Amino acid sequence: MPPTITDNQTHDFKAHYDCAHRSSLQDDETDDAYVKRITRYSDGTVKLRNSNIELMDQDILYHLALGSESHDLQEMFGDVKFVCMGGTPKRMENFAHFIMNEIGYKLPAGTQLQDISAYSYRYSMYKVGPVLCVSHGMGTPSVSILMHEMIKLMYHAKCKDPVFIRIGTCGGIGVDGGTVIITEDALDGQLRNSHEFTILGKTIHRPAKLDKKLARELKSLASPDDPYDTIIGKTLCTNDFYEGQGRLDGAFCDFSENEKMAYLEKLRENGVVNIEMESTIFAALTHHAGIKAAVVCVALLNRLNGDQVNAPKEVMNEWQARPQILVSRYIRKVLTHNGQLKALFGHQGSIKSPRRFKLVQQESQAHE
Amino acid sequence: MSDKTVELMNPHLETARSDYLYHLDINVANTRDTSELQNRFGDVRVICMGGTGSRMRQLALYLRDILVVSESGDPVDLCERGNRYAMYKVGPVLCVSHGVGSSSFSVVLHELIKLLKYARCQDPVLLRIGTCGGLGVPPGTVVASKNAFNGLLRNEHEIAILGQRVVRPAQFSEDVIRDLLAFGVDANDGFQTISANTMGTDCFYEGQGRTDGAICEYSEKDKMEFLQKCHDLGIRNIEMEASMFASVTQKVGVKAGDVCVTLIDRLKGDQITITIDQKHEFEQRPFFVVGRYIKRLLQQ
Repeated sequence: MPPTITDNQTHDFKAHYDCAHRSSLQDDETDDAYVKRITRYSDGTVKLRNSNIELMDQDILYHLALGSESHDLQEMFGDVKFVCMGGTPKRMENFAHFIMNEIGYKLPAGTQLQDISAYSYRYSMYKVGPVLCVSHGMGTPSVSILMHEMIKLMYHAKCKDPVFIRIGTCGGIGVDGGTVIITEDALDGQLRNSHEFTILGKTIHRPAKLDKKLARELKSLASPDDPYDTIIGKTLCTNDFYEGQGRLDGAFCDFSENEKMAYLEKLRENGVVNIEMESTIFAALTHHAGIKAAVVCVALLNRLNGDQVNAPKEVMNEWQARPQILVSRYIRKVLTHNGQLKALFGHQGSIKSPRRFKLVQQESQAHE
Repeated sequence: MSDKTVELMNPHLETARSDYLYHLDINVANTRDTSELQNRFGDVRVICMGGTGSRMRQLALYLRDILVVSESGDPVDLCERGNRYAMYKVGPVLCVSHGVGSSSFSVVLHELIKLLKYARCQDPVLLRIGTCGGLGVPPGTVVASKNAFNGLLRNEHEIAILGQRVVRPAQFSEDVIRDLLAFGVDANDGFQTISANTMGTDCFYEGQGRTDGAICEYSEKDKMEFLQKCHDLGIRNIEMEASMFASVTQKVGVKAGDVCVTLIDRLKGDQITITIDQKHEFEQRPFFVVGRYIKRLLQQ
């Protein structure tokens, strides 16, 4: 029995997008300049596209277990420059430890890394100096909640020009397992470069734009010595892991292997190199909020060769570290450029580890 | 006893030699001899699902008491190595977390339904237990969902399959709803349990007409008009999983119910005003209703 299929609806999001803000666009103002103007205060801090928030007595970020009156959010998070997010709490805790080592951040004596959002039981959050590491669960609805609350957090904490990076896993299309993929464009299940929102009973499409310059910069940090490829390509984001990604091993499946392969080849022809479940909402919300963002994933398999992940656990763990390595190179580069790496060693009067000593050397060389 | 095991509409599973429930970290080494899984899970009659692992652990402890399952110590998370979902077993009941939203839930739901098949579970019932926003009902009301509406106010769930838009009906099992109300309610409860329609949205903030998200481009008046329209459709609660859950279980032909407690009346505001203690007490209420239902079910 074939699935119930209705006629494809054509969603011309550009028309809607133009209508939505044409009246506010000033003469000769570019789209990007417009977004910048309505999403930033003059000092670079985040301005929300929601005038209700500043009128509220208190704002509770339920799913983070934080609030604007219960916590001094500016004191806690005002120095945040990078927000790195990924699916599982365990992986983001591992990343927090990894980045702590990579940027030479030293915790105050007697403390250890703590999950700031433990009491929400929904997401986990770790702070490592200017880097915030947070889990987002699986799928666009879960990411959507986190993103709203993270963007509000940036506002309350008065963070300046934060960068958001999603780190994850994906299925590859025509690429080997272990390949690192930086997303150029995020596409939805119907291959539109947008995310479909349902707001007050109506469908709205917002462009799923990621920062192209940031993607190229990340790519430039891949080393020829890396024993794996790092590529830029289009990413398909689906709402469903099994049927939505053309898998044959779900609880039910109404299509044939031939139909699935034809679909995957069509994706490949459209420049899609990977499939995951979060990138369109991540891109659409960061873009709408005027936040520079990137998506870096590692492929766990090549979907042209099958549906199930077969690599051993140890191999997969090593693969999952690869996006973290690339992102840490980017963070170190930015911190070095801003002269901030030195400050992170502020509490130490002498060399305590060769790795950190090397970082200081690298920083010095960067300023020759 | 007649065979009431789950039949799956996936011909590819018939030919696959092995299967791996990736997000649960459960390996089915030989799909033609699943005796190991039958030994571990064959007695399962009910799978209860909710958002967080911690709440599913609390439910497991609660059910241990009322079902008089003689186990001691901390409940063991059978899927801990999968790092995605938590699973606790209390005799004939599995308690499994599903994360937030339809996408996360659909992944584990497919894998749980396959588990039911491989373990040859008899006449299973799937129940979701959670919290929600209410619509015109007091905070603390327990709602057993009837018809699940999506954010477009249609009683359906939409998914893209191989690039095509597919729409499926989304109704919960009538007999499960009837029995939840018949056996799950106690006159001394001190709270109301009702059956009503439910809206499941993909976005907690804009999708549910909240005005306290990072983005809000509609007015309070627009929002109230929308919520009133929902109310007019018989919708009394709003959450994020119902339409997908109803459509998948309906397609597979497995009995399912969705039992949520309201934490707020959205017709009166967006942010929760109950105390932490009240919230903890409210969150227990679906446990009572579902606990009685399960107890009765196991007696049949």
